[in-house]
Amino acid sequence: MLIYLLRRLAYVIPTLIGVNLLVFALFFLVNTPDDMAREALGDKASSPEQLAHWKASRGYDLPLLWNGGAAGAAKVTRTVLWTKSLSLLWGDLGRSDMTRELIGPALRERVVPSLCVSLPVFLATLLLNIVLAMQSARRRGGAFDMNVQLLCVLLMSVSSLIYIIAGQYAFAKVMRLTPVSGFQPGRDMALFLALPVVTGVVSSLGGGVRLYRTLFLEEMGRDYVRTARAKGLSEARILYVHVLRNALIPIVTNVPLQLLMLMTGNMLLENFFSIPGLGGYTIGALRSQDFAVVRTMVFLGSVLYMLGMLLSDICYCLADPRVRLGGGARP
Amino acid sequence: MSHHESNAVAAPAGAVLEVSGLTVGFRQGSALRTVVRDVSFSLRRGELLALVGESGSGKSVTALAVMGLLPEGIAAVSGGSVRFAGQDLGSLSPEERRRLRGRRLSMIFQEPMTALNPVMTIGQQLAETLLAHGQCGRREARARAVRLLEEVGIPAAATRLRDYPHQLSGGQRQRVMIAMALACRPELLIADEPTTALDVTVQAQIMELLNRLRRQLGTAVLFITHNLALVREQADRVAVMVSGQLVETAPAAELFRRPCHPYTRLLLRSVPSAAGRHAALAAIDAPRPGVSPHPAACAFATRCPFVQDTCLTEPPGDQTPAPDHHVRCRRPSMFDVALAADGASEEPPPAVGDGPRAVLEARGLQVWFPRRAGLFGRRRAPVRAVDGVDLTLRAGETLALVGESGCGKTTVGKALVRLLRPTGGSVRLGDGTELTRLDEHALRPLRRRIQMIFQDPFSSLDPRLMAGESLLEGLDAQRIGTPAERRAVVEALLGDVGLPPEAAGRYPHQFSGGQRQRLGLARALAVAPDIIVCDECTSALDVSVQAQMLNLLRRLQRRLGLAYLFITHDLSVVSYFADRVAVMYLGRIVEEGPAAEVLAHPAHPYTRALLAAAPRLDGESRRGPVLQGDLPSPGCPPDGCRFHPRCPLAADECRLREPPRRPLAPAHWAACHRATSPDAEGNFPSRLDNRATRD
Amino acid sequence: MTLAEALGSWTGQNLLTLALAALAVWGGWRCSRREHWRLAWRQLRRRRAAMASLVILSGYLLVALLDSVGWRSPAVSPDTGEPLRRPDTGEVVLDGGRSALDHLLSGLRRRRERSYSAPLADTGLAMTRMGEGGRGRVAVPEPLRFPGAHPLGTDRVGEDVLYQALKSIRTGMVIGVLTTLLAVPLALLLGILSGYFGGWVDDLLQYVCIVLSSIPTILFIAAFMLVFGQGLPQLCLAMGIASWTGLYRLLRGETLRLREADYIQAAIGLGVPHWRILLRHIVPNVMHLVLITAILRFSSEVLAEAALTYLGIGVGADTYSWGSMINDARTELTREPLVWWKLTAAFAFMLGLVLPANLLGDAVRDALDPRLRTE
Repeated sequence: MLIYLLRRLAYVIPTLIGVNLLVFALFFLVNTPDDMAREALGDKASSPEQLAHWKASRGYDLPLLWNGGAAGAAKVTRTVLWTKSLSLLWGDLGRSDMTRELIGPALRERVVPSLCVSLPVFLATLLLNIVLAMQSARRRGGAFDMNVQLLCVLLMSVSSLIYIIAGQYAFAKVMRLTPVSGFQPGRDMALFLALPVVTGVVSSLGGGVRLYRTLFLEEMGRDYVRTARAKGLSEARILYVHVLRNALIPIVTNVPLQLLMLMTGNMLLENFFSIPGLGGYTIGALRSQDFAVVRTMVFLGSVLYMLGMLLSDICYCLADPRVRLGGGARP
Repeated sequence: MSHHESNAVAAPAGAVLEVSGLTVGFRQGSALRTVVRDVSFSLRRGELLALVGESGSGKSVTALAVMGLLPEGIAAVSGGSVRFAGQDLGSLSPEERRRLRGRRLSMIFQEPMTALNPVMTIGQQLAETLLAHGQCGRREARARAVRLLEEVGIPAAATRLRDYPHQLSGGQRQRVMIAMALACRPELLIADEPTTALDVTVQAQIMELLNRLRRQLGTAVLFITHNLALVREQADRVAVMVSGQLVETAPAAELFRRPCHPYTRLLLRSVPSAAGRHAALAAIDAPRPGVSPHPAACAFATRCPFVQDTCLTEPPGDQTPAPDHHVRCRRPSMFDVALAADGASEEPPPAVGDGPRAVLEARGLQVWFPRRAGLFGRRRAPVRAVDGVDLTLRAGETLALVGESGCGKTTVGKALVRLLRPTGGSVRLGDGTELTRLDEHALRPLRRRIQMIFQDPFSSLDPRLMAGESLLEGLDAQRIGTPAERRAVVEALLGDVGLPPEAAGRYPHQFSGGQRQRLGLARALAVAPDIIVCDECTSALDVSVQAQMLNLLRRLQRRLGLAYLFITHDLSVVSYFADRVAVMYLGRIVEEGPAAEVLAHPAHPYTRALLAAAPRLDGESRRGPVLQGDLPSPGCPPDGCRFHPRCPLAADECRLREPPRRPLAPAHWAACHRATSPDAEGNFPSRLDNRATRD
Repeated sequence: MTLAEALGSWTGQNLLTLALAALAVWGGWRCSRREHWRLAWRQLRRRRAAMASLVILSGYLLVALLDSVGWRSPAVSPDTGEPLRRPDTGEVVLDGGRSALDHLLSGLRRRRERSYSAPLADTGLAMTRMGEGGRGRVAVPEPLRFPGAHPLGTDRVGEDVLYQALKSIRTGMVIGVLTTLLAVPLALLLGILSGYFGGWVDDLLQYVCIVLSSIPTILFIAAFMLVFGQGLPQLCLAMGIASWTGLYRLLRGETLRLREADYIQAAIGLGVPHWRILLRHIVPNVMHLVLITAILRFSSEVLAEAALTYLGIGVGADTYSWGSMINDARTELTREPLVWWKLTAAFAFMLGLVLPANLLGDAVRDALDPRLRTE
């Protein structure tokens, strides 16, 4: 198993370098520092001096790939590629192009509000998905199943924007149960979070229940279920011990990955509900064309994904005896 | 169901199970399709009743109906009754039936691979059966589980409780299944093809175990199988099913001595054997088209060579040619009518010796699969699937390559056809062309000389192509003939394999399994090959369909002078069909010689074990001890003779030195230190035979 | 003329639309000759929900097609109504061109009001600056120029909402179709190459795939749109690049499985060239997966457009789309009286496209892939 994990780890580094180079190409080769400066300063009122000053103050005045004028190792390190892109690999996140503040600390203070929203959404969705899908699969073909199926298709067919707007209108404006938007740590937090969490859950429920139902049904058609029936086990034991234990393996092993991805924040929810999280931060950067922040967020997203994959793989190894003990291939 | 009272077999006193007039329907849209009709039989304490029939005849459905495990909402019992120990199961609530299952009647299945829950230990799975029926407390369950595992012959049972199913071999898994099924000492065990997925030596182990436990515990066994030889060897009584109806029931000895129903008689005559070597096998035709018999009429009527008009319109009558022998057929005294000798003996094939030219020669053929160990892993030894195999194939002959699954026989076939690239050795065509070193491009025109046909009728034809398109494929690829000529060839090929010209425009799902195998053969024949590698090409077919295929293969061989490399695990097919036989074990050939000679006088202990394990339809019991253990991994084959860990004759020499080939008779050799030439009577003296008499 | 200009001109766009339609007809004709597609079609026809969905989707498709072909017509002087002529040569001046749909809906387009009006209302609402410093805005009733002529009302600038909703259909369909047309051939080609040949081809493609899929989709699209600017073509490209990896993995796995099928082995044994095996055996045997994925993804792409446009990384405010309609409407919910019709129209038109697409997708999946059957 250790060898397997080392192999997976060996995948991570080249992938991150690949992502880094891709981001570099997108942000510096397609869109040169000159373009950035022009867009930041506005097209009309920018003299060459102003452009040069803007670039110099943000460190974009270096050559992109190769600094012929420098000596020794600086030929490589005194370049935009090294200082702006590769530096992300060793955790130097740089400064925002607009506000000039350090990105690292800014991210750190926004992670908590982001998680305050996305974690409850994730957990509630997971739980509801499993419960509804299990009940639906258990009564497959029955009225309950049909209704859940129909509801899922309907839920899936509506834009999440609508859920948010309708939720805000109904609960905050008309019924005045919750604040329209905002975020406040402490005692009132639950009140502020209720609406975003509910809309978040509703908008991601449809697809999840359908997926899990298929998963459960597939598992319920397997031979070992027939064996369990032939042994005279109760239907409850078959479902909640035999079937669930198998079906939960792919679900649970995916959790670490999803948990890490939560840290990038939910842009829509955070924006609508004015939650000072990372999603909102990214949108702000998008709207103000803050290239440095978007660049960093893209790279961080990829780092989190790769880490999450690694953790999920470890979980998979631990959860499935066929992998843990060798002798069986991944199904 | 007006007549099941009259048909119900009088239940003998003390019957564990009485099934009478059982009818099961499958829901198809809004209609109900009857798949089991009016089936009646009974089972006594400690008796083994074999339920025999071709695939789709309703054997398993009958068993599931008895267990109350029919898929809910899809299938349902629509008539008749099942009485278990005097109790009508139909009158019980689902909960009451559940409490019977696993405790008083239990079941084991065909696929031991998937029948156990992969993420629970076998200890947990054993214990939960006991706990579910309140057989014992949680603490005691463990000890009981250990005892159960010991009972089914799993060594070091206490430590294996914590193992997961994937850590056990196929045979061991089936043992665990048996332990689970017998945990609560049921009165009835239903075994649904329990050995079909297993090798013949493992099958013998499992059957031995089942029989021992059956005698010990007095359990009645309903044994579902399609293997007639196994039935002859194991069953007390036999029930024959065809298309959802039970057509004949009799004590095993009586049935095999005096089969009465036309289906049973044809079925028995379609089993290949050495005795019938030169005759064609009996084949059962597909249903005659355009005939729609009465629903309650004999299910075999549309295929029966003795059909009368009344067979199609009225229910079959009951006949009792002997006590406890029931036949459902309208023809009176069917058993007195001789079957038409449709397979009049053909002229024996030309003697095969060193005469005809060799069309294929493999020397030292080696296929090793590298094992990927990853960036940081140590280099692991490759899997030696084929490790130095010599074969010579002559024009017009059939060489059978026999061995258990995992011995590398399919890999040999694929390497010869160059679907796999050999890692060593040479393969030469008759004209001396060396195939192993040719690149893909140079090989392409030579590919037509050697073709392959496959095991699985469902994957051997592209489901998206019409049959004609599949047959054209080789002609196109080899650029043979003009488009018009190619179409003519396709039509001729269809005729050759017994299909009408319209078949060219049909899709694979419109053909039966046997027809698909014949199309696979026609596709290979299209490019006029010299050699055909048949990879278990009849193993997935019912015995009567297999008979058709074997007849066809033999007819084409005589006409076209084809050479077959016939890869199989079925020794009865070998004895009927092969001229020469090569026995393979763990990537090596251990014995080779003329088929008749090798089967009559096997020299290598492995060959003997295989022959001993295979049940025989002629009833001749010639069993040696059952070979113990499983095939070792070809990743780390044992030193010395590869068979020595399982060999009853193994000596120190065998553990150290690889055995050389010992010539025993003309063209017959065995790679064994202990193999000796036959004595005057043609028997090989050895310790093995001395121990042949067991239990 | 550059490629972009050519595609931007009406001639180019008409040709492109025609080519796509021809491709669709040819594909349908090819499929109708194959037994398994006909079988699936028969199965599909038995499902009433699927057939109703198909009818509705055809309606949407028709509108989108009408909105994708167009022509330039003589410009008309706003004052005199006379055709404009160039002063120097006397040639008739052509306008920028309008689509066939614009011509059909010229009534709706031309009937502009000053500001809000409720559906089929006779009086509109004018936003007037009131109070100290002109901070508050108050709606005052105001007679409409075209009373009762707006089935779904008008918005802040007095534009007909029905017209906007209808014009948005093309955006939605283009996103769904173009993204699919970008992602599916890429995924198909790379997936079967990767699965069939294995070796370094597979390693390389897998690397590209994992690099791309490691970036969260929304962040990738955000970065892409930030660099290339907002717009329909850019959005399709970004979504296409971001979404081929899933189907690629599916097809790679399926090809790996198919490669071991006996009929492929038999074809190799007969000496059939690799490219023919790919075209004759592999592609037809994975096509059902491609179709299922494409239909099921269509709806999620339409939905994604709305969210992305709202976030400012979509088609941009100058293109009609349900996303921008919802975006506008969001602030309108705070008005007094409530302006609900624009949001409702966008919601209803979107649901009308996405729900049938989802239902059809499920039905097609059931008909084509018994393994994935939901019941």
